Amino acid sequence: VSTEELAVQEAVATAGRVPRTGGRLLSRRSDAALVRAAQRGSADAVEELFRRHWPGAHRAAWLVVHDAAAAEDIAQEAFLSALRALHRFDRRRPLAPWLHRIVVNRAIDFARARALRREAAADAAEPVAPDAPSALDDELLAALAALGPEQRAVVVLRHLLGYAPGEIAAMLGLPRGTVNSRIRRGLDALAEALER
Amino acid sequence: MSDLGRRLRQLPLPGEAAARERARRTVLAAHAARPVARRRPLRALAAPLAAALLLLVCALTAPGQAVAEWLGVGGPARAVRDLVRDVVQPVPTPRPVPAHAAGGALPLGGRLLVAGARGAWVLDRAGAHRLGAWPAATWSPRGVYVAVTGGGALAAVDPAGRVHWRLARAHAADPRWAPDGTHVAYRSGRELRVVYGNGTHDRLLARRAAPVAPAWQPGAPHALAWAGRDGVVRITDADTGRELWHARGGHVTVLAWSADGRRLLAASPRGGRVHDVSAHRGAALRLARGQRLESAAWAPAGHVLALATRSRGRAQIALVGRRGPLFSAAGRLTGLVWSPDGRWLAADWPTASQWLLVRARGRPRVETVATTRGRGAAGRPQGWCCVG
Repeated sequence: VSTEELAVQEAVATAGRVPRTGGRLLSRRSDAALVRAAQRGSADAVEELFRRHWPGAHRAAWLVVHDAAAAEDIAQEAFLSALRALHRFDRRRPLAPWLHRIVVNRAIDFARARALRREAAADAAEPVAPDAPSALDDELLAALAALGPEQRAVVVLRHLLGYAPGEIAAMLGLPRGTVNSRIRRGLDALAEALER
Repeated sequence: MSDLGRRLRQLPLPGEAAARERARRTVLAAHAARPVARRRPLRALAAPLAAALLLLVCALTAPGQAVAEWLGVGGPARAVRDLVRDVVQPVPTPRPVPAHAAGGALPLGGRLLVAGARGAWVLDRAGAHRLGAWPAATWSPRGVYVAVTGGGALAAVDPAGRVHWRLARAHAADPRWAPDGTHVAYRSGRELRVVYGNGTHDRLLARRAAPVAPAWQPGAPHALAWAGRDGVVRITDADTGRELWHARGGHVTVLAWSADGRRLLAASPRGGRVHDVSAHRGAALRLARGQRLESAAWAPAGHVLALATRSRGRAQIALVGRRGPLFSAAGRLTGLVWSPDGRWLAADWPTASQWLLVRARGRPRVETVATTRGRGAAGRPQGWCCVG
């Protein structure tokens, strides 16, 4: 069993345990309370915030970039950026949109840049993790991959993370009409690809 | 399409559990390492208040202006003008003292990495240790590995010279390890490329890069400064390829960041410019007529910039803003690097077949280390690692 597999087993084994702070279940506390605790140095609060927000951030990054190693990097860097800025974070504002904005904008940048530059040649080393799942939902992935990164991003923000078009417009710095048209065109393209 | 959200949530992510665990550990480690902000007692505020009062006096009085310049408040432009005035005339400097240790041993603490046409070496108190036939090298952030190029390859070797990983790349040169250890940037011919610190995920970052070593921005570990053949200096996010900043600078042969990541020196042998990247301003680095810049290095703390220059067959090392050179001698001085504690400067003195060690703070002192059997240039210092 490799070190990485052991780490995964350990993570799975500890996944059901919810940390407590001061006798209160952290899982019942709001994001704002957890941010306040994290600002005061609580590692348990940081871990609970990570547990809540990592799945959405990681999945969103992966659906936009379609590259497992890059998605991991993007989501991880978003969390590290959030940590670096934690001391000046305004607790009156929700954490998730801020985090998702970092993730999706970085993912769009990565996807654009990758389209512009040639990736590693065949003699480069193997990537950190395989890039795509083998069979399940290949059609949906292929249809998503056929969209441009900006269209993928708005579809992911709308249908995976559940943001309203106005919120997406604010996160991406786009007019609301542009977001609406990108969502509509993205869904049309997906429907067409999936019906083929 | 009503079930699109559910299908997106159910798509299997490759390596999801392992990625989550790696990220969880990284995030918690980063949180544990961050400084916790504490309220400062009134007594601790006394020094900043006194400094603020001093600056106010500096601003309001003519003699205070000189004090402000001495404090560095006058900015790099004033300091550079002072340097230009100082470096025109050769000034007597300490005579070099040969180091007593034999076999290319470093008479000071730490490990000095040198590389050149004869290969790469690590010098420490025990002597010189050859890493192999690598003409360019750079330390990893904690000195555990050395990234090297040569023979159509980029590689990571340990300080004993054992190859940890190797990547075949034609004309690989100028490797630079990112401050957080996650990336190594290097040039491959005209391409600027970036590879993960473990040798995987090698990729092209830019075409048409000038033959200048790129420089990672301290404090922003994925921001890389590099010079293009179009005369533009750019800062690019190595993860996304996004351009973060640029400046048209003409011919550039040296890129160097100050320790706080705010100031970027972009220079050629005829001078250059110190860019304050965060404030979008800068100051020209002008040299005297006939003087050529050989090498430049920022101190590991603060904004002290050391320059090695050459004029009419004489070379000297000086600090910007400090009167008089630290050392002056016939020939050339290149490959200027600071010791990790900021007390010493090392340089290659090929004219004398020696590596030069110049004390930059306190009482003047200069020591030399003989290169291999005195046959000219044996390699330029590439980095000085890990004292204490």
